[in-house]
This record gives sequence, structure tokens and C-alpha cells, in this order.
Amino acid sequence: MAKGNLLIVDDEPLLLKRLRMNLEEYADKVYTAQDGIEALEVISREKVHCVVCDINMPRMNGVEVIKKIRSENNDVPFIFYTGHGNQELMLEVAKYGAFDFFNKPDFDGLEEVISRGLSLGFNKTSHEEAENTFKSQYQQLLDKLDEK
Amino acid sequence: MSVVKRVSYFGSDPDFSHELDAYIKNDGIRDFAVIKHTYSRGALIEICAKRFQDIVFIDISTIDKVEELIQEVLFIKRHSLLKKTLFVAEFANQSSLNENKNLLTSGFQLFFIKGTESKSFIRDSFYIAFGDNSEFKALTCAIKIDKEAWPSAYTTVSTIENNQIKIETDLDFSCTKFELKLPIFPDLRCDRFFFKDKNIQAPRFDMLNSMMLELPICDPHLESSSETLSESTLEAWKSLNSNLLKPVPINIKIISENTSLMNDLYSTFDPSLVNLSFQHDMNEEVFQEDFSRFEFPLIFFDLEITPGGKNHLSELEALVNCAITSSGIKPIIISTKNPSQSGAIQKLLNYSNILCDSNWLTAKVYTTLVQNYLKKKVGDEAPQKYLLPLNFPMRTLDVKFEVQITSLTEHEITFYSTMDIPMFTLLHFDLPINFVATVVPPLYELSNRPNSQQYMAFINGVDERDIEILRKFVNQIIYKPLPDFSAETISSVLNHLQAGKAEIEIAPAVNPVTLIKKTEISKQDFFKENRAKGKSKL
Repeated sequence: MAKGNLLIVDDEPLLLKRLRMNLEEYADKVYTAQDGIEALEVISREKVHCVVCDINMPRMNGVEVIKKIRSENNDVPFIFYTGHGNQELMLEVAKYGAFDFFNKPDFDGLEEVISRGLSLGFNKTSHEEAENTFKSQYQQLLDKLDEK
Repeated sequence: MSVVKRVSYFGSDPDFSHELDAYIKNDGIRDFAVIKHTYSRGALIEICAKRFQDIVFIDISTIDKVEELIQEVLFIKRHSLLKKTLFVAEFANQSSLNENKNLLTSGFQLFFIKGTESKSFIRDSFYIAFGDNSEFKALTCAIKIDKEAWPSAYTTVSTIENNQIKIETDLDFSCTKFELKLPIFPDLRCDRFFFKDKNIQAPRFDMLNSMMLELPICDPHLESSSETLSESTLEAWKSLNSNLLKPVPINIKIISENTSLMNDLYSTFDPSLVNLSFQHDMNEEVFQEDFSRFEFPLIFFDLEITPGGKNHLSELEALVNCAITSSGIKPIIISTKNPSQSGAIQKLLNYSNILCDSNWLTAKVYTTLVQNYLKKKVGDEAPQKYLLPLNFPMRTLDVKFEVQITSLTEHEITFYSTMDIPMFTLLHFDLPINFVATVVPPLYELSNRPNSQQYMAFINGVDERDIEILRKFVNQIIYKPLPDFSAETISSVLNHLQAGKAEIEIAPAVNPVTLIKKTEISKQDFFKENRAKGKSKL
């Protein structure tokens, strides 16, 4: 079954390599980019269904990348990973629509989130499906309240 | 530049309608509409939600179900913007006002009896709503009265739970001894209660304070007296009113610029189960104040998150911080028209009880979410209280406190009080006649004393006959000041007047201020100035 294509954006070559190796099995194709400008080039020529992006990069940071992508009416899911002290950048990207956040260097659960991101980007959830997902999440929250 | 003023009239009195029309034409108001001639359930909300109304006049004689009207007005008053609407009630006669006493604790600020001068009454309404003081005339005024009187603050019983009774009132009686009679327990002659707690959560009526009082239940081994209530009497009352025992309504906050949501959701929920509270923007001060009075298990943040324009995401962050730091339950927050996923926002704001939806929620979805919450949280185990219905007979009561009257005309009264009285509070004076007194920003400067502030109140809720008595009374006491303001003394004067034995028939107009300043104050400044002095009901 097709999974969709993933783009990983990070200015640290070793981290980029490591993530690519770990995430290859969750996507059909994994593209990489070492900065925001390269990322935009990849997105302009390839079909990308989910982006994993470092929020704080030189030349062009994660905010500028998502801002540019959204200005082209591209709602591809963005997963950002951040370090300490990036709250302001996180708030800024959230205005453009963030799928999730991860703190470096803890990537526990990243694979599962990537799968969901790819599913959303590749399958393009209908309004009805989105509403049902929302109601289901709400019910889970109500159930959790009882456990406390 | 003239301000657009919005006034509505729900009624069918052609004389009043004509007077209103004439007054507005003179005032140069550009926007005026007689919206409906008959009231029907939901009509008030529909009008107010469409466009903010500065004043709404309602002819009570055209209302079939006053309880529905009260419910609607209180609903509107829970909206942070619409609560500033001035509601004015018009009655066919004095008896009608007496029969509908519950309106005095239900969001109305002025009361008009047909047959009295409409223009004067409309002018009072416009003063309260717009700060327009250009039409006031000098009236015969008895000054330097300086006598004690005991008016009452209109107060309401809200709930009864175990041996405690919750009352709601605009004045803060927690630090003083006060007299209170409970009409719902007619055999109880006790008028002093143990104050238990104040600013109890979840006020139900449009009052600024709520207090818990302990009922004076007598020791089961002793005989009850007129100062105490026996357990069996209380149980008998509970048994007779068992249909009033209900779970406490849950409070839901909706922060939305879309006032039509009020209209869509109003009829959807049973107000005995759900209290909807609307806020049109994320004003933190308003929110904090609401949060201190209500517990909101469910909050809808219906402000679009976008990169441009207003920074609603920061406002959402502020809302979440309030929730995190509050000592009560952690509410579920639903953020609509939010482009981010729930998981991202939960991590960003460090709050797990938040969900996001990228679309506006429809009324149907709101309903489903609230009903799911009710199914989950309001079961047989939910705490129950005796909730007095909105139009329950004898729920409205008087709480007396002392003032010192300084001046009196047939239109306004001034007095000193050591209590802090918020603007537009309603008081009841029963001497020299029964009247409602609406505390207003004074028409002229009033002096204060150490520990005591002087207030002015407009006299209303009186018919033509009573105004005439008051007029004569004022004339009488100008030339023969009273030794005191006791019932006996005043009764004697009134008897004299009625018997036609007045010493002086007409006194020339004596006004404490030679010139009433005509000022053009914008409504914003008017209210800002008076709110800065203390709490205000509008």
C-alpha cells in the first residue's frame, strides 16, 4: 500500500543521515534538504506528503519555510523539531498549521507521528472524516477525565 | 460626529412608541428601530445577537410567560459585550410591577408605570445608556434632610442545599450585620443569619455577589422558636418542592466574535442543565473575573488562528495559562478554526486538555459535544441542589441597610452610605412611598465624607398617584423639615397631605445646583469614568 513521500530538513548532516535511515521504511521515498532553500526546491519538483523540519536553521528557518509553502496553498503536514528556547518560533509556525512538535534529541514516537502525517498528506482526509476524528479525540479526552 | 445609538421597543403602546420616536428625532439619532410589537421566545436574543442594542424597552403586559423573558435577559447578560444593554420594563400599573417583582433581580435597570410622563422616563434611560444629561430640568428639591433611612437592596435566593441557602445580591453584605427576611419560609421570623461564605461559584442571576448563609436550624432537642427553623419544617419544604432538586447546571464558556451563535444555541440546551456564557473576545480581565465566579469544565475558543491580523494564538495561550494556574478543574478547551493539530498545540502550550479543529464548528457539533459531556459527567451521582426557578414566587427579597438621606425630589434621591454601592444597583425605599431607586452617576457633583460616599438614584417604578404624593411630600418637608424619617413621622405627614392640611401648598423650585452642566461625554468615557470608581452593573 502506498505510504507517501517524506522530506527531512536539517542543517546537521549527521542527524539528517540518521533520521533518513530510521524513517526509510515508513515512506515510499525520503528526500533530504540541508536548509530551507533546498527544501523549497525539493517541494517544487517532487511530490511531498509530509515534512519533518528543524525549526531553527541558518539562512532560512522553519517559520520561513512553512510560510512560503502555505502561501502556495500547500497544506502538507509539517512536523517540527525544536531545541530549548524556541517557544517563540513554535508559536509562529503554529499559526501556519503545525502537525506536531518534537524536542531534540528525543525522537520517541516520531515514527508513529510520521505515519499519521503521511497518511493525512497522502490520503487527504475528507471533512466528514476529520470531524469524526475530532469527535473521537474528544471522547477519548472525556474518558481520560474519569481516570484522574 | 454623532454616535449611532440602537434602541428597541418590544410592545404595542402607541403613546410610548410615539414619545420614543419624538425623543429620538430630537436627539439626532440615526439608527432606531421598533423591532417587534409582540414578544416571542428567542426574539430578544435574535435582535441583540444581530446588532448590539443600547437600550431595550419591554412592555411586560405583552409577555405571556415572564419566566421565558427572564431566562432570555439573563442569557444575554452573560455575554461580555451584550451585558451592557440596558433593559427597561414597562408595566400597565403598579400591581403588575408588584406581581413581577422577580424582574428586579433579573437584568432590568429601570421600571416604568404607564400613565406617568414617558418623556422623563425615556430621558432617564438615555442618561443611563449614553450619559446624555442635556434634558434634565431643575425640580423642587428638599435639601439638607440628613436623616437615617433603611432602604433595601434587591436580593434573590438562588439555591438551597442541605442547611444552607445561597443568595445573590449587588451589595457585599459579608462584613456587616444585615437584616434579611426569607419569604419562602414565612413562619421564620428570624432576620439575622450566619454568613458562611461569599462569592460562591456560579451565580445564576445578574447580580455582582453571591453569599452562602446558614439556616438557623434549631437543636433537635430544643423547641423551635420564631428565631429558628425546625428540621422538620425544612424537610417539609424540601418534600413539597422535591421537583426543584436538580443537578447544578454546568457552565460552558464560548469565546467567539460570532454573536449569531447565541441565537443558534439558545434553544438547544436546557438552562437547568447548561449555562452558556459568551465572551466576544479574549479580554483577559473579563475572563479572569468570570473564571473566579464560574467553573468552566468546557471552553470553546472560537477565534480563528491565522498568521496575519489579531494574534489569537497568544490569546489562546493566555487562556490556557489561566486554566493551568486556576485551582479548580482543568477545563477541556476546544480551539476552532485552528490550522494546527491537537497534539502540536498540546505540546506547544503544555496542556493536554486541548483539542483543535481546522473548521468552524456548527451548532450541531456544539450540541453533540456538550451532550456527550453531560452524559459523561452528569449522572445519578452528580451533586444536586434545590434550584429555585427563575420566576419562583418569593425568591426576590429585601436586605435592609442604613443610609442617610441628603436630598429628595420627585425624580431623584441622594444619600450617604458606608456601603460600596455599584452603579445601577436597584434599591427599594418604602418611605415616603414605595419606589425603586436606580443608583446612577450623579447629575451634579456630590460631596463625600470620611468612610461614607454620597450617591444619587433615580426614582422609578411609581405610578402618577404616587408621584403626586411624593411631589407634595417634598414641598411639605422643605418648609417643615422632619425630625426623622421614621414610618410614624412620615405617615403623619402623608395623612395631613391627604386630608388637605398641607401647610404650604407649592414651593418654588429649589435646586442644590444652579446649573446642571450640559456635557457631551462619549459613552465609552462615561462608563470608563464610573467603572473606575467601583463596580458597575453595566
